[in-house]
Amino acid sequence: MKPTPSAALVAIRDLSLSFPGKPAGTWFKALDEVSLDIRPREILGLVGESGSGKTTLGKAILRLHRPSSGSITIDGRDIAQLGERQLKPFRRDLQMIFQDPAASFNPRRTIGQALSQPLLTQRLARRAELPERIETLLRRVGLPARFSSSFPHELSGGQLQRVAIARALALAPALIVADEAVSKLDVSVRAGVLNLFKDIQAETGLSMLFITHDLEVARFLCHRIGVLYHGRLVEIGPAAEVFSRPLHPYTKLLLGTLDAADDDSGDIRRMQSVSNSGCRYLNTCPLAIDLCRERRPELEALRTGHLVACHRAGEWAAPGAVPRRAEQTSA
Amino acid sequence: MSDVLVDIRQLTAGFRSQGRTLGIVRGVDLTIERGEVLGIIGESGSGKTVTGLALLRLLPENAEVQAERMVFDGQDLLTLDDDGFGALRGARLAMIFQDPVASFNPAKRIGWHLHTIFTRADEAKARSVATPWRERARAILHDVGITRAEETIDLFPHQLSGGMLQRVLIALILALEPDLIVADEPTTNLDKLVERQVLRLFRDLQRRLSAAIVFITHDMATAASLCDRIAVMYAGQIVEIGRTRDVFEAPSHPYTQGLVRTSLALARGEGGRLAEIAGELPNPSQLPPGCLFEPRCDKAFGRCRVERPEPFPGRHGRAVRCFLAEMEQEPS
Repeated sequence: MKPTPSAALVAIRDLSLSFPGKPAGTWFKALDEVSLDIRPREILGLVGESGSGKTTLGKAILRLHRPSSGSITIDGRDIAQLGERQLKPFRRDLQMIFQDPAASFNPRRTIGQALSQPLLTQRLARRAELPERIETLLRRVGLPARFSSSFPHELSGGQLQRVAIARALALAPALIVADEAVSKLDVSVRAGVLNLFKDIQAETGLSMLFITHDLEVARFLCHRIGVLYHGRLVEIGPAAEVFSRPLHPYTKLLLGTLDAADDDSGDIRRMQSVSNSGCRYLNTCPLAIDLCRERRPELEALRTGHLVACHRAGEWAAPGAVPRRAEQTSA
Repeated sequence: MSDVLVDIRQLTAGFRSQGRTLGIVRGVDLTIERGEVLGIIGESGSGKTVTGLALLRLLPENAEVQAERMVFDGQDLLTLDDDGFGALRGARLAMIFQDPVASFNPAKRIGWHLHTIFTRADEAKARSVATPWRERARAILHDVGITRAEETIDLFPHQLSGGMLQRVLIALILALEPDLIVADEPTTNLDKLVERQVLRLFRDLQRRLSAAIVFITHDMATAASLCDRIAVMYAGQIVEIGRTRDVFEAPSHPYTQGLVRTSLALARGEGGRLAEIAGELPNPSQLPPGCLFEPRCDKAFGRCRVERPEPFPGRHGRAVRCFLAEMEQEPS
């Protein structure tokens, strides 16, 4: 069993974030009262389709977005509404790795300069120490020290993503948010970078929020998995649990995409529009009942550490239970 | 009539830059049968996209393409002039790119695109269709799972999501009814649910049109779910080709073995560490003297460093560029 300590490193409560929508004057709820904990020493995976709010949540935690409401508590302090100056001491503890490594570096600065910058900005190294620090960082991510004088375009995508990891590690952060960090990498390179993430987390004990649409990658890397559906956290629990005994009908649909024999999940006619009242998933859900239309389900723990926002999940949370279709219950 | 739709021998392609030519594709042999889905797998820089573009004569001005033979449905593509090729491309050959947005005219509505393709397809097939184009458009959008077809006809491309646009693009191809479709990473930008849906559409497409599809991808799982045969490219060469099942169940080239191992470990949810293929693709201007994969190969031996392996034929159209495959096959 993977260790799952309980005290939170980052505690997120009722976090909402809206963007101006179309038509003008309306608001699009990218995040709708999301609550979750990121625990010390864990890799928390965040899965969902594009548009589900995964990236927005990651950026809100790093305060690259300002949330509309709710709290983000780190070290006993709520950073949700802090200004840029007050945020500076937290910046060092919160690092991000983006999807496209080529877009993450200044093309006119060497790898060594890119790695020096955070150390100098946060006053963590003297200039004289830099060459040694950079060499250590590069070695740490499996790259030769000579890359220090290379420019980003001289490195491959996989090598550059390793540099991005080194740059995030430079400040010894408490949390790294990795947003689709292996999605653009080639298969042969991806394995190495995934191993690196695993090794680094195990060795340094930092926490990671790993945002991905690739369920297999999430299962390989993460201790716990959270599932987002259109701005709502619909399920969260230990990775092995969520994969072997998913509780939310949407999670089941997502996991069906892993099963080559389950061709049904590819049926486009099954995905319907998002509901604005009650449960957001009700238009697509084959198990929806009147209650789902009337009241929005909130997250509740149906098994130890395994939470789900579904009115009906209690019916099949027990081992051996079989869900009945809506038409059978309402008839 | 033979079943072979495309026959390519010794295709090479490269780009002229600063007075020299950098080779990208190095001697590709490929036959594509009518109605089959052939997957081309490889990492970026392996030459899979350039092979597809060369086949459709879509490479830029500074490209140099050569081949001993390039035949499409009995027609010699090497001697065909640009006008002739253009006519073929618009009607019997089609390409789907990774980014669907770039395939549309941003100033024109979805309906305009469909109308244009209907007209072109009808001309190419010398037929006249009585059904009003709007009705045909509605029907074909419905076929690709767009429930609000009537509304969609009047939308502009930017008003649709990536998955929806990729569906419309498939609808356009359905309308065109080509014989060969080259699809370059058409699902790479889509998330898994939408990818699954689009792959299903590809299967429908292939069944309905009995068109041949060349499906270029870097994802083993995607290729396995769709393709009849798989060609694995590395550094501009096909290192292994064969029936999808054979390649997956018994990968023969060490590079394919590495790709399959990683893909299966992820699919089965195995813990621990993933098997890595250390190193990078060779620089096209400094190729290793022997086998192109030798610097990254954990099974390489003396001969691999000095001699470049030729494709070694196996059963059911299998071919593997590796001395080990050759040695295993030979009775001792």
